[in-house]
Amino acid sequence: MNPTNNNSNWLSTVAPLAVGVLVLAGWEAACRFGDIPAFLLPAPSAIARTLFTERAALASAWLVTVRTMLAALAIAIIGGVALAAVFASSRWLELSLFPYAVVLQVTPLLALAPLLLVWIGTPWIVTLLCALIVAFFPILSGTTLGLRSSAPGLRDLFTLYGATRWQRLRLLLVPSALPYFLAGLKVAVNLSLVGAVVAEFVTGAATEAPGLATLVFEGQFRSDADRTFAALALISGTGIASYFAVHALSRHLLAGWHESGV
Amino acid sequence: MEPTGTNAPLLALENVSKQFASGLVAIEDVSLSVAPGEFLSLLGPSGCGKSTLLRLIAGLDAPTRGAVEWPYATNRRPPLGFVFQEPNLMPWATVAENVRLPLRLAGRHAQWRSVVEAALERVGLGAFATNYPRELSGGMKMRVSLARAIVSQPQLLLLDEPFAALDEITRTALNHDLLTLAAEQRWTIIFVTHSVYESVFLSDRVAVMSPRPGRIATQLAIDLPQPRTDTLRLTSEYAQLCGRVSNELQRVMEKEQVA
Ligand SMILES: Nc1ncnc2c1ncn2[C@@H]1O[C@H](COP(=O)(O)OP(=O)(O)OP(=O)(O)O)[C@@H](O)[C@H]1O
Ligand SMILES: [Mg+2]
Repeated sequence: MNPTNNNSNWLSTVAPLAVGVLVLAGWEAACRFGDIPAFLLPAPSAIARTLFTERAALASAWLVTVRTMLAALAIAIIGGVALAAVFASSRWLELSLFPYAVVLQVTPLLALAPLLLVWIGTPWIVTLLCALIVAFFPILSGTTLGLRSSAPGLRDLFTLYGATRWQRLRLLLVPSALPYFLAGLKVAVNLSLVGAVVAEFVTGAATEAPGLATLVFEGQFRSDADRTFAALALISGTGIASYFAVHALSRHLLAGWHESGV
Repeated sequence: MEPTGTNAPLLALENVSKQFASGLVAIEDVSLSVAPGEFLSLLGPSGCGKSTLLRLIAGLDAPTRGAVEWPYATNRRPPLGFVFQEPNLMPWATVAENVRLPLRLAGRHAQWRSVVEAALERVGLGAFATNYPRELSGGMKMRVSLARAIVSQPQLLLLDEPFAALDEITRTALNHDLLTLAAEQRWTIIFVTHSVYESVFLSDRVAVMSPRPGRIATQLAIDLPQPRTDTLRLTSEYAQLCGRVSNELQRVMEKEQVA
């Protein structure tokens, strides 16, 4: 809109891109002219080549990981929002259940995943469960807070005009909770990827459908650094893309009215 | 709505007291009755319980003692409009959607656009229907809140310092509109203000409140001719009444300083 705004928009795209290009160029130069063995650090061009030549294996691994991540995210959204709605309608249930949600959140996934594999056995269920466990809490806590944070003046207004429970939920609680939910979603989307990747490391040997982390693992095992780095690049790329996707969704939904969306 | 008697007041407060959980007594032993179609102003220093009294009348808080009764409407609270001291607008909804809220909550979906437009025109915001509240000034937000209060044609309007944030000219214009509307629609209005002149110009009766605990110190009938016009402000009757109300307010404030 105004020049400063335009300027900072332009800056926020170009500046990080410039940094990225500089780092890649430096990295490429270091690999070519420096004395870095390719099994320690392959050049960006070598990684790019591998991304192309091994695209079939990489794509199928990418699909496995992304499917885990998205399924976990979907379940976390449905379950987290539903449980938050229960918490919002009953203080009593919130007080008795919330501490257990915290326990799930603070238990290290790396310690939990092997146990789950022993108990459950099926690798894809274990990876899904791990991604779910970490994605669930941000959505639950964000939405719970959001449902409680509608302005008291607006609550009075709805009372005054005799709003039904449904009207209050749809016209007051949902819009007030939306920014909090979206903040939770931003965290959850990346955690679900991290959860899926960590779980794949643990279940990697047992699975027939390898994910990206399994490829990283294999690459290291066979000293195939190009493959390791290609898989790593895909993991980071997916994380970055999903972060910006949620960011764009958030801006779109809050456009015009919320401080973070204008 | 059947009146139980021709002389029955619309609203009767009987020995109403309100003590908050903190122990603070905001309202003590207030008795007050308001006739249908009457314009009553509540005047008093900051913190004397004016907003609290309006909330009790609206049923947003319950009195700790006494009763809020509606004799004229066979003891059902009539539909009412409330302009709170803050605008209380939904930030995620446009001005038009904010004004529409009372209609929507009452399940009135037919022709809401024209009704909302008319209410916005009344407060001089016809051109801002599609704006969001954050794009409005403080005074404009209050006017949206006023449009929302009158959109459902309530019989009773509770106004908590609605024009405090407005400039003199807009304020005078809105006062005029309010009086015209009240006369046209035969609304009953309870109006909270800090301004002696405003209260005298607008009201049929002024109730002066005293603080700690909040009570009604005196009530003065304002028997100036209707309709109220700008020339009224130049008459000696108006000046005299303003002087009397001002004196009462002075007495209340002095008593507080001694205490
Ligand atoms: N929810 C509450 N809990 C505790 N005390 C309250 C509450 N609301 C108001 N009070 C107290 O009640 C007293 C009256 O408050 P109220 O808001 O009714 O004053 P007021 O006459 O409207 O003042 P002003 O002109 O500044 O708006 C004040 O002393 C205030 O501190
Ligand atoms: Mg007040």
